This record gives sequence, structure tokens and C-alpha cells, in this order.
Amino acid sequence: MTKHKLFVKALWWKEYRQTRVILWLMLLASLFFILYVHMWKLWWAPQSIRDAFVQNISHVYHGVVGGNLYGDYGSGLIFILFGSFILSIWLLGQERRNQLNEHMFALPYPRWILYLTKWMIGIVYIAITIVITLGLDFVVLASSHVSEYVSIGEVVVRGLHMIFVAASIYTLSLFLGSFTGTWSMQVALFLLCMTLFDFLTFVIRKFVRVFMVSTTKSVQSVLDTGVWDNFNVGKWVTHEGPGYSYGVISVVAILLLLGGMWLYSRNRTENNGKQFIFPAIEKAYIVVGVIFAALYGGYLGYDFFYPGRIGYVCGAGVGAVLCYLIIRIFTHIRPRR
Amino acid sequence: MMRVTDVHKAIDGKPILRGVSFTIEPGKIVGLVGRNGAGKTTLLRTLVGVYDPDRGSVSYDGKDIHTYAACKQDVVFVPDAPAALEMYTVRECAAWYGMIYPKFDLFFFTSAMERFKLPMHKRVRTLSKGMKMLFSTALGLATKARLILFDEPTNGVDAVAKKQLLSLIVDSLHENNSIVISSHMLSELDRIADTVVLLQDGRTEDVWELELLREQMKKLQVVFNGDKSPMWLHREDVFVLQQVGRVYTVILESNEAMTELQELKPLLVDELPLTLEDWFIGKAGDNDDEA
Repeated sequence: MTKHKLFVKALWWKEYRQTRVILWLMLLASLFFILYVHMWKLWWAPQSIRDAFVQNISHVYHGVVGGNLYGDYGSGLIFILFGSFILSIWLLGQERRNQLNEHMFALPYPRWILYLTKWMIGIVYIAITIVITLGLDFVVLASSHVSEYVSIGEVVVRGLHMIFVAASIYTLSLFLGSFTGTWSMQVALFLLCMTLFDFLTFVIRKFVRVFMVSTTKSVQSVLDTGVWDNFNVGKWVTHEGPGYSYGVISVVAILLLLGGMWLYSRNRTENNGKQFIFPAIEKAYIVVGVIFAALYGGYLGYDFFYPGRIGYVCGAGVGAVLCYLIIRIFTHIRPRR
Repeated sequence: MMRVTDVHKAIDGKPILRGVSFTIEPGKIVGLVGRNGAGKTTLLRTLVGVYDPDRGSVSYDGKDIHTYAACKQDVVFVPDAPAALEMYTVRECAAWYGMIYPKFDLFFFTSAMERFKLPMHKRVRTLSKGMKMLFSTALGLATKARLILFDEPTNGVDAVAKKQLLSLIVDSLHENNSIVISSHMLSELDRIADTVVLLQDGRTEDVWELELLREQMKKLQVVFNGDKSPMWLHREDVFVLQQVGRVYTVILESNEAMTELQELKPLLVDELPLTLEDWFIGKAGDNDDEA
């Protein structure tokens, strides 16, 4: 078996050259929304805001002095997540569009190395942005009159959490790009993933209620465990405080990384520009999409047209047919090869 | 050097390559010819690993190129437009290729850029179509890879630059390396190629050694006695390239055809120089262009 270097200078150079603007924008956005906001609240804001800021961070939140201060990092994290999401689109979806992907496949590197390099560069961008931003923020806070509420340990923990969240989300969006043929489908699937869990919980509950599906105690106990919440991608970002499932999310992220490498290695370049690179995934997408649309259509039919099983079934039928037609139209659009 | 064995490739369910087999020997320029849609570009992309074949294999020095990507240190593809490099400057491209290909010859590349008067600091996207081809040809050749595949390298290049470009390609050929050129410009291939692979309907219809071809084949202009065209014209080893009145331009594939022609005692038999284009029209043109 051939051994490959994991760090290929030519690939890192190319990825950096191609995406460096995104790194600077991520850095700029997080510095503005974290560092600048703190500096403003400490020194340049009206007195009332400055007082409120000191009062706010002196409050014990989740057992941590200055807990509210770290809550401010959330706005910076959103921009880092957005930047890493754009990065994943730039590295995969956009690369397919401008035929760089085909050029890369002709180079003397296995495809999984190409994918792994894209993943690593994203992680490095995320880490650089967070380390620089939080590092500077700590220096500013520690040298100010609120230094007694600031702890280097808490900043490090918070920084590591932010890196973890951003890395997991980036891994997911990159994974979606490994089998979608256009950047628009990569974006659409990502948005779907962020909201899918809540949507599914809602429509399945409705289905169970309408058809009075009974579950055994053992099934119910499995359903009631909090394990399922770990697959709520939205919560990977929004969950605050204790109980964050680093273990499960790590495992999911590692599987997504390996899955992405595997799929990217088997990419059929001739399908670039189609919604999906693999016909099998396109079929699965249609089936799953139709089922979800039927569940949603059933909910609408029941709640807004006829509050009975007939209303649900009719709504489900209309939803399924409409969804099938829409997906068929969209999957046959091929904007650019 | 490279062995292509029974390569099949379908795109969108439509078979493009339906059994392509040939070998590329070191020290040769191989021309890849075929009518539009014959599968030339698909074949080149399959040879370098951009596409995976549905069936068959492509091996380089005995190693499957689709399994051992490292083989591609020595196999470089120059597409018909450097779309993937458009965002970089000429200098950046050279620097990048220098990192990818250990034998990259920066001196060769910069000399070629000076010769073609291409500025190193310009972005590739700002170059004209012809300049882009000159740039990407020089970049590909500068890798000093043992096998370089060009897809329509002279597309959009003016006559002077075309001459320079072809001489650059020919001068880069040594006994250890090979060059594959897919082109519609048969007159160019006629001058520089050693071997020509004819693709027809996604298959390797024929592989010609041009030197041998010129020795074995004859192009004649013939005028027969009488108004009726003889059955001789329908022989399998006779291709009618053109008919103007009673004057036939034909290609003869065998000596037997020549002997039989002499027995017919035609009014005129005149031997003409055989070109690759004549042979290509004879083989790929369905004999439907008789005037």
C-alpha cells in the first residue's frame, strides 16, 4: 500500500490562495463582534452602558463569575460558523462550478487527500480566528477595570468549545459538498440539516397523535432518552451550559469526515453540475423528501382543511405529489457542468 | 509506458467510450483523431484520472492510474482551456506547479513565456484565448513529465504562435517521454505525429504508424475509359476520396488493388502525396463526400 503525506504543501498553498479572503473576513467579523464590542462597552460607550456592562459580567451565570461575558462570544461564533460554511461551499461546490475540481483530480494526489486537506484548512482557519480573537479579547479585558471577573481558564474552555462547535458544523457542511453537484444544493441541504430535527419531531408527533399509534413501554423509554437530541444539528450550535454531548457529536463528526472522504474518492466528475453526484443518493433524496412532504402535507390537511384522518391523508397525498414534482424539476436542472 | 485496455465510459447513460485499447510507447508523439463527439476529450480525461472508467483499465508502467494517483507525477494533462488556473497569475501557476511536479523546469517555463511575450505578472483570465493555450502548453511541458496529453493545443492560436507552439512541443520530445495530442488539425499531426489513433463511435477504429502508412498506402488520381465506373472502385481496399466528373481521387490499401487497376488500363493514373487528412476522410468520413 502506498504511503501518502497528509500535509501536501502544494495543496495547502492552493487552498489558502483560493480562500484566504474568507479567513480575513472571518477574523475581521469575529474581532468586530467580540473584541471591538467589548472595547466599546468598556471605554467608549455612554456611561450607562458601561455601568450595565460591568454589572452584567459581575453576575454569576451557570456558576461562573463573568459567565455573561462569555455569552457575548456567541455573536462572534455565528460569524465564524457562517464563514466556515461559506468556506466549505467555496472549496467544494464552487470548485465543481469553475472546473477546478476536474483539474485537481488530474493531479498526483489521491482524492481523499484532497478532501482531507480541505477539511484541515477549514479547521486551521477556525482555530486561528478563535485563538486570535479570544486571545486579544482576554488581553483587553484583563488589562481593564473588569479584570477581576475574567479568568484565563474560562476563556480557554470557551475557546475550545467554540472551536469544537465550528469544527463540527464545518465537517457537516463539507460532507454535504462531497456528494452534491452544485453549491446551491449544498446550501439547501445544510439549511435542511439545521432545521430537520425539530421539523421531524413535530410532524412525527402529529402523525402519531392523528393515527393514535401506540408504543410499548420499552419503545417509549428508548424514544424518551435524550440521545436523539444529539442529532439536532441546530442544538450543536445553540446549546449552552452543561450537558453538551461532546462525545456523541465527536463520533458523528468523525463519521462525517470519513464518509466525506469516501464519497469524494468515488466522485463521478461527469456529474458535476447535477444536483447530486451519485444517482443513488438522488433517488434516496427523492424518497425521503416525498415522505417528509407527505408528513407535512398531512399536518396542514389536518389542521387547516379537515380535522380528521381523511384530511390528513388527503394533505399527505397532495404534499407527496407536489414534492415529487418539485424535486424532479430541480434535480433535472443542470445550471453548469 | 501507458497501456489503455478496453476502456468503456458512459455519461448520463450514453456510452461515450465503447472499448478503447492502445499503447503509448516512449519517444513518440501520438495523435488522437476522430470526428466531433467521437470521445477524444472523454478519453483524455479518463487517461489522467479525471473520469473513472466503467470498464477496462489505464496503466502507467504497469500500475493502474486510477488506483495509484502518484503515477500522475509523470502524466500531465493540458486541457483545451486552462479554466482552473484563471484566478492565478502566470507566476503563481509556475510556483504551484513547481510544488506539485518535482522535475518542474522554471527556466524552461520563463524562457517560453519570454519567447511568447507573455507577462509573468498577469492573471491567466486576462490573457487572450491563444495566449492561454501558449501558457498552458508551456506550463505542461515545463513539468518534464514523461507523458503529456494535450487536448486541442492549437485551438484559437494564430499561425505564428501555432508554429512556435508546435516546435516547442516537438523539441520537448526525448527518447524517454511521449506526447499525446488530440486535434482536429490533421495537417499539424501529419507533420509531427509518429502514431495516430483513430477513435470512431467511442472505439479505437485503427492505430496507424504514419511512416508505415505512407509506405503502404497510395493516393491516386484515376480516369477510366468509358462512362461507367468500374466495380474496382467498390473494393474493400479502395477508398474513393472524391469524384469530379470522370476523375476519381482514391486511396489504395493494398498492392492487389494496384495490380487490378493496371489491368483495367485506365486513361490516367497519377500518384499524389498521401496526407493524414486524406486517410482520415477515407476512414472516418463514411465516403459520403463524393463531389
